[in-house]
Amino acid sequence: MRDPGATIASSLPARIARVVFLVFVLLLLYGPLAILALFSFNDAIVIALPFETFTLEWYREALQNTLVRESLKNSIVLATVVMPISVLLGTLAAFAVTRFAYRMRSGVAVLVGGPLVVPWLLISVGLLLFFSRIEMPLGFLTIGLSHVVVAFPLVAAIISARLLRFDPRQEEAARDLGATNTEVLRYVILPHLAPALAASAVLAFSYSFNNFVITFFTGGFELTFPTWVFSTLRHAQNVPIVNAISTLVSAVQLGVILLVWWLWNRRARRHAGVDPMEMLW
Amino acid sequence: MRAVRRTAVLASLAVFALIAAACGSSSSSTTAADGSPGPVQGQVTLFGYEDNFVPEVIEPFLAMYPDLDVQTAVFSSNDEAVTKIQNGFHADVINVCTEETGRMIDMGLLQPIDTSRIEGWETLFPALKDQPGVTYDGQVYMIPNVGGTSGVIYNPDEVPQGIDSYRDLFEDPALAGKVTLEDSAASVIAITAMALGHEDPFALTEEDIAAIRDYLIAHKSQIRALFKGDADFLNLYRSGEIVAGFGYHDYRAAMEREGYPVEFVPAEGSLAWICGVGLSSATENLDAAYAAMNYYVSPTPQKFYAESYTYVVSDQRTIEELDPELVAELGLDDPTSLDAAIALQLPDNYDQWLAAYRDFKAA
Repeated sequence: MRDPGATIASSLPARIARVVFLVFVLLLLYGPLAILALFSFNDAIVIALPFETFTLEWYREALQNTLVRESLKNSIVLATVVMPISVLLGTLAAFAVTRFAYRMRSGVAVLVGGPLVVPWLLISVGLLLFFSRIEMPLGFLTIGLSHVVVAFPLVAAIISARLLRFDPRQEEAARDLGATNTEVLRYVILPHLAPALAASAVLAFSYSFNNFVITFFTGGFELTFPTWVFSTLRHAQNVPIVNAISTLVSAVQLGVILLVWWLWNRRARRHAGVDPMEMLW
Repeated sequence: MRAVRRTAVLASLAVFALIAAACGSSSSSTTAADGSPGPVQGQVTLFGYEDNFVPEVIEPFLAMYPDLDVQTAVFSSNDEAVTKIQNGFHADVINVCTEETGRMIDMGLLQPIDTSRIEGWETLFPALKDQPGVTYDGQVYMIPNVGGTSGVIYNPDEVPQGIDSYRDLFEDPALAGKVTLEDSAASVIAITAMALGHEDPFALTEEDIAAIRDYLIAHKSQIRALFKGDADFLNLYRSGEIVAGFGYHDYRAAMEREGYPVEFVPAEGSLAWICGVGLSSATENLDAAYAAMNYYVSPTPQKFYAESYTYVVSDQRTIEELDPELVAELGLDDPTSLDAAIALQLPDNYDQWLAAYRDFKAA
């Protein structure tokens, strides 16, 4: 049987098409970010060519802005707390919908995945009404709880996909060989889930850190980074400052993702022949 | 069992961390620790656009009332603000604009303001304080502090023949595909009404609106893009994607400062955006709320708004503190020009406006 990959690679038009497609996708994904980064060094308040002189002024202004610093701090604290709670709840939910057989399992799976398909605006207003009815003061606690509501289903989906590909016989074999429940969890299940847990943690952090709609509606008098960005963009003179700080934040987020990716690859190399993506899903 | 207990402890720690973060936040709240007792105490909550809380504006207020706990929350559009308040969010003083006042009063979100408690009421420009939306059913619901007028903005290098009518935006073949309008049903329908000869663009019948919708759709090819905010407008203008459009006077000022050729004409009529402060119907600390409202219409923040954002300011006392050139730039050297402007507002049949605007956008 011929290797279809080899056929594609040997056909010049196909290779060109693949490169064009790849460039198109990369442009689509990273073009806006690249423009944002480029114009954060432009000495003008509008994002348009021609490029004026190079400047670091917007970065200086952004880093000296007390509202930027405070909003970043708030968002980082929130995301740092929301991330482990979401990963824990999402993992438990994933086990509940993939590892146990019970009558309402499909219904539970739908309920867990629901927030992934319901528009955030509806979730936000619903949560705001809910907090208002139970007279819970709006603040970091309500924002955090709301972020967990939308982040843990994502974690559950990722972990579920990983668990579905896990052969339960490995677990049974470990038990047959005398492993306790804790040992099975520690030496069999968690190593298998580790890449998915890492991916979930990064995404849960990002979901919380970047969330505007839910934060706006369920928050009280706290300023988070996305709230600051949205409220500030009204004025043209703020655009380059937002560009600068957003470039920095994006670079850090991208750096974290690359670091996780590098760790996966390193782990994959240790398990020779394993595709890193295979390890994730 | 031990694992469950550990999980519970971790969850408790996480919740505690959230509460601690809430308590630790200080960006938007200031509580006086040892300031001398002032006449205004307790807490006041303010809900407004971001420019209400930039340090240049909010810090002098905090310094004036060291014993007042000031909490601030920002929004980026009036719609967001109304939705949030309507669904249970409470703020004492709300930043509102004329087009939203009626809707908020009907929802019971605002209460009438006792103008005898507004120190600058007598020195506000009459043209601003008499506008619909400031006054509603004979009572004052909003104290205006900033505003601006609108008209046609165009690039004289690209449009040497000039523009003096909204009709040109829709019909001049030289402007085909190079015009921008604001992404707002109120302004688009209103200026089209003026282009078609309606003297009061906010008193339109269902037939008028249908005719405006058809006209807009028929001339949609003139429109390059609908802008949202001055940043959008400036980007379109500077990149050359548009050469003319509906815009606000402060856009012209911003572009002049950036060195771009720009002309502004009020065309058939100027729409005025007027924003200010409203008093929440749920306000409990009236003294603090009035202190905040008084501050926002005082010269200190208004001077900043005029100088930084080229907003038209509402208090005549502020004019004395401004550079005469800036006063002329803002059009405040001739306050009667404000009298001719029509405040942006939401008419009773606004649903029909929205439907027509949706049809235009979808066409």
